[in-house]
Amino acid sequence: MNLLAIDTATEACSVALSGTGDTILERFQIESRGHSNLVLTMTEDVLWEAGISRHDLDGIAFDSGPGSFTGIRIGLGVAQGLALALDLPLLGVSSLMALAEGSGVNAVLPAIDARMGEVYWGRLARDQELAEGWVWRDEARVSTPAAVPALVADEIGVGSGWDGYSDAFGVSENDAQRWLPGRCPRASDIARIACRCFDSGVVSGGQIVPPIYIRDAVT
Amino acid sequence: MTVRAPAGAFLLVHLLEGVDFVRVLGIETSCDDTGVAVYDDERGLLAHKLASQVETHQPYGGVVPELAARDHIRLLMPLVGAVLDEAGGRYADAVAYTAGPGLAGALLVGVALGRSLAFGWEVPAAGIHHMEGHLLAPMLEEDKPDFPFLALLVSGGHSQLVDVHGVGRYQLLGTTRDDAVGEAFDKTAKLLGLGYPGGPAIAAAAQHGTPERYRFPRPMTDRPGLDFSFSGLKTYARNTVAGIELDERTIADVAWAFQDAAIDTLVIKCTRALEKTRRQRLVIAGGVGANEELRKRLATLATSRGFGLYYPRPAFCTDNGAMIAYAGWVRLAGGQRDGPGFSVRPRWPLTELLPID
Repeated sequence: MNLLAIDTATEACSVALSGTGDTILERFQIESRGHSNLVLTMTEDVLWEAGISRHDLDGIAFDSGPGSFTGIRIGLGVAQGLALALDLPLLGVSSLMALAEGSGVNAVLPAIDARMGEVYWGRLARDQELAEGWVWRDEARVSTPAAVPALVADEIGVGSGWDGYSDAFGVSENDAQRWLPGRCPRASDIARIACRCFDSGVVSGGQIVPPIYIRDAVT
Repeated sequence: MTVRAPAGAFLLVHLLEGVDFVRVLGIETSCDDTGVAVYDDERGLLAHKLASQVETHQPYGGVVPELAARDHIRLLMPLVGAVLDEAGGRYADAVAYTAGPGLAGALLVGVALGRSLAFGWEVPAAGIHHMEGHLLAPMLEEDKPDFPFLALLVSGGHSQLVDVHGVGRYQLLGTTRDDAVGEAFDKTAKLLGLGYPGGPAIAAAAQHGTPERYRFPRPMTDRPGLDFSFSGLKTYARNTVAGIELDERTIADVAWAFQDAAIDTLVIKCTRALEKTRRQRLVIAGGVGANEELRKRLATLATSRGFGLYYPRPAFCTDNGAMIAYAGWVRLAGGQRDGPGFSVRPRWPLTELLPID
C-alpha cells in the first residue's frame, strides 16, 4: 500500500513513503525547531520521488508520542489535515515502538528525554502474533532514569533518554551490547509498523486519533 | 447577505487563477477558542462553529497555554468536519488560518491542520493576522463600514486604537503600556472572586452596584496621547478592598466603579482619536466590544457627535473562525499564497502587514 508516515515528535523531522514491497522512501533531518517548515516539503519530495500523486495514497500514519508536546501536535495536525482532505484512514504509532523497530533487535528498552530530569520509557519485545509486531512488557510511562528497571539479559537500550542519562543508566559508549547511542524515532520505522497494522486489518479507518503525551501534569 | 472585497482584488484572482474561487475555510486557534467557518464570496457565511475552552481554564483564572493547545488539537478536527458538512461538502477552494499573534502552541495546531488540508486539497492557503480578522469582522454584517475608519480593538490580549485606511493599511494610534483592558477585567474579577472570564462576570456584578460609591481613576486621560494603561485599575481595586469585608454589595460596587473607569477611559480615548483623525466611522472589535455599557456610551456619543458606529455581532466580537475565513478570502483574493513550509508568529505587529489594493 502507499502509506505516508510522518514523525515530528522528537528532535528529528522525517517523512516516509512505503510503496510496493519493502522499499521505503524517506526524508530525515535533525532539526530541533522548524519541523513545521520541513514536513510538507518532505512530503512533496517523497511523493515526487515515488512518482505518485497525493491521491494515490492509501493511508496516513504519524508518531503520536511520547515526545515534545508541540512536536506531537504538529505531526497529528498535519496527519489529520491530510487524512481529512484525502479521505484516508489515520493511525498513530508510539515513538517508543518506532525506536524499538529501528533498533534491529528483539527486546528493547527505549527511553526518550522528557526534560525536568525524567524520561519517557517502556519495554518492548518482538511478537509476530501481534499486528504491530511488538508486545509491551512495560507500557509507556514517565519517571526519573533511576526508577527505570535494569536491562534484562537480551534487552538493549535506545533513544535520547539513554543518550542524555547514560550515567544514571550505568552505560558507556563502549557498551554496544547494551546501548545503541544517537537514535531517534523515524518515519520509516513508523511506516513499517503501520503497514503491518493496515495489512492485518486492525486499523479502524477513523481520523480521530489521540496524541500520547504521557505527562499530564502541565500546570 | 453578499459581501465583497475591493473589486480590483476580486477581478485579479479570477484573471490569474482562471478558476472559481468561492469557498474559504477559516480556522482560528490563537488563544482559548477553537473557531471554524466557511465563507462564500457569493452567499456569505455558510457555516461557523466555536468550541469554547472556558471550563478548561476556569480553575486557573486565566489561559494555561499547554492546556489550550491540547484542547485545540482535540476539538479542531471534529469541528472542521462539522462545519464543512453544514456548509454542504467536505471541500473548499482555499484555507485561511490565524498565524499570529497569540500563543505559539495554540496557533500551531490551527496552522498545521489548515495548511495540510490545503496541501491535500491542492488549493491556496494563507496565514492571517488575528487582529486583522477582528478589524474586518464588521464586514460580515449587513451594516458595514466603508474605508477609512477608526477602530478600537479591545480584548484580553489587546487594547489598540487603529486608523484603518484600507486592507493592510493600518496606522497604530495608541496601545496599552501594560495590561490589555480585557486582562484588567479578568484580574479584577479574580480579585473579587467573580470567576473567569472576567468581562461578563464584572458586567453582571456591576448591574447591582451602587453608582459612585467608589470612584476609580481614568488612567492616562489627564495628559495628551492615545495610549492606555490598565494595570493601575487592578491595583486600585485591590487597594480599595484591602482590609474590608468582601460582601456581595461591596463586590458589586467595586465592579461598578472598575467598569465605569475602564469604559470611560476607552470612550475618552475614542473621542480624542476621532477628533485627531477626523474619521466619520468608528469600529469596535474584540471581546470587550461585547460589553453592553461600552456599547451604550458609544452609541450616545455617536448620536451627539454624528459619527457612524459599527460592531460585529456579539459572537464575532470574541474570537471566531468567521472573521478569519473573511480576512482570508480578502487576502487570498489579493494574491497572498503560503508555501508548504508553515510557521507561526506569536508576536506580529499589525503595522507589518502588506496592503492590498
